[in-house]
Amino acid sequence: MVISQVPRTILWQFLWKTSNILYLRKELRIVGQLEGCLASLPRQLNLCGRPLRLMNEEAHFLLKNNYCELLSCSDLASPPTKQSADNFKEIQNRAFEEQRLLVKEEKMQQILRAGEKILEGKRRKLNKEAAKSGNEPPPLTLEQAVDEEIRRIPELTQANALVQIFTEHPVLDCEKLAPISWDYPSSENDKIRATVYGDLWAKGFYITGGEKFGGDFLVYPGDPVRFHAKYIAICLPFEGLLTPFQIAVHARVAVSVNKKVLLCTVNSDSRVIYKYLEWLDAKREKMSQETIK
Amino acid sequence: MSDILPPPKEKASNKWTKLHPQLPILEETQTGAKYCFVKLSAVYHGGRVIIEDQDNIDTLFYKGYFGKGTLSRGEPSYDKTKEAYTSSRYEFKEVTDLNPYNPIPDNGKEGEAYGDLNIDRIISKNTSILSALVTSSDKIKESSNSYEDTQHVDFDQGETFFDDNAPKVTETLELMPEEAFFLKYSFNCLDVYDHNENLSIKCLWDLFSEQDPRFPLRYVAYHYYRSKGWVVKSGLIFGGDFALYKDGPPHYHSTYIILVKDADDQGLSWIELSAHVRVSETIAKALIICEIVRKEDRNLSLSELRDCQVRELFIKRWMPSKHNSEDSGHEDAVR
Repeated sequence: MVISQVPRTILWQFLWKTSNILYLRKELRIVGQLEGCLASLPRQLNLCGRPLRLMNEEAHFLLKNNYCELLSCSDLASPPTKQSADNFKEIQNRAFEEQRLLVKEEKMQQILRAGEKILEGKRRKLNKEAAKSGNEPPPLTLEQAVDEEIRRIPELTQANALVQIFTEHPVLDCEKLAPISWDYPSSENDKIRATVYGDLWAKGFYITGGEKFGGDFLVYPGDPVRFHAKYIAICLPFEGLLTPFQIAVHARVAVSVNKKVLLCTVNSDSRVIYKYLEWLDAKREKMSQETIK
Repeated sequence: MSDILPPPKEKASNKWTKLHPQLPILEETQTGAKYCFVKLSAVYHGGRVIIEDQDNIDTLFYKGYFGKGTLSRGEPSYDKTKEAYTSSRYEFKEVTDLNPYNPIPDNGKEGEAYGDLNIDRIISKNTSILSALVTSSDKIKESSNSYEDTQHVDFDQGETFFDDNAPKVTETLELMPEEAFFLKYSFNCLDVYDHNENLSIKCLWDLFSEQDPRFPLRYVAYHYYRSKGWVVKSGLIFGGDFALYKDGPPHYHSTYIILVKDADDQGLSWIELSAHVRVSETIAKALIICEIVRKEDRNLSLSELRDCQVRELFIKRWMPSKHNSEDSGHEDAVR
């Protein structure tokens, strides 16, 4: 069975920088979806980490309103130059050096803090040896004991060092940044969705993807962390046919998850029209009519 | 275990006795031979096939559960309950001011109803709804020669009038086009009259195909499942083409929802499919997509009915969290 193919687009809408992700959510009401694996919680999909994936409509919105720019870096298409590779190795070496010194420093601090205990332990050991051999135990000062321990600190090896996995290029030495265009929206459906998204955003809603409930968008009156979705938005072409099956399916899903179906379309004047689907249960209506009396 | 088709579930109130035979082919006679072939008649009116005669209604419904009572939810029970069943209605309403601060109220008087659709009446017709939504004061109306307008008594709230001269309201049985054609084509036990003309099989096929372009595909699926012994009824309430019952609605809950699809067709988009899966999960029925493979690449005609092949696909939602061997302990985490 063939499911309708998703048109091939440039997949650029992944955000790695936390500051960007938070800015988008707090200032611009763009929610997106986290799709990456959390290192501390692997092999599950309930809690995901970065990158944040933007919907096509969200990405289009950002571009259109100049909140972001789409650039291509032609250097990324070819393997790194020797210069870049050397730069990167330099960064890694520097990181290792810093770690080495820090580890040593911390170990030294630990020893100094436990200086008295170390001294006591060493004295006891010397006394025991002296008692066995019958000699006088040699004198031992705090400085001597501590110095001895410090000399015994192992060196940090590459195998034990922490390695940073970058989520951003540490040295962007790309000189050939050029703006690039994106061919979204191209199909009629995409255009309608993009327009509806823009209109809903302008009204002040938070909008996420609605695939879970068989719709195009989920519309929230506030941040999704604090509110449940109010509407399942379904975008339809202006001159289309709506079959009874579609009505039944959408209405049923919405009723079972306590949301309303919002039918959205864009007319010839580029105005967005909203209708909502109300399911009137025969029994409820009868009961409500009786209570009115 | 959860990947196999779920079996039919018997209803707790399964006290109806199953009538034999279970198809309206033979009936007992008082005179002469013990059995004779059944011959029923129906009227084709305004796109619907209607059985008027009370005995015919009983035969058709109780032997094989064909059709639906026009004033009832399923079984023609108007005579017993004396209450016309007004099925659930869907209304389209305009949103005057969509904003996050004032949600649309439930069952509110918000906006003006653009017209309500009695879902039970739309069985196989597609309705161009959106263009109707735009014109401000049109109401979507059934054809004015609606069969029931001639007999309909207004059930207005408040007082009931007992008028002996008022036309008596009787309930009729309405058949799906697929059901009517099946009875005519397979058993020849139903005659469909259109203005006193007995329609032939070919006539009936052309008539139904013209009314609903999907009729040939749906009919193949209907015939296929009926031949296997399932009781096939309309699945519109579940958002599918058909609903399959073992032995019939009074005995078993419907087990499967069938979506009929042409094998060459693109099919549903992911979003629509997820809506169907979601609904079938909510109502605890399995979703089956029935693909019809045609030999020729043009509209299915009557003669090609035998050459069709049927492919069935069982669709179920797979949730990775339920199949993990490791319990991450975060099943109820943030959604």
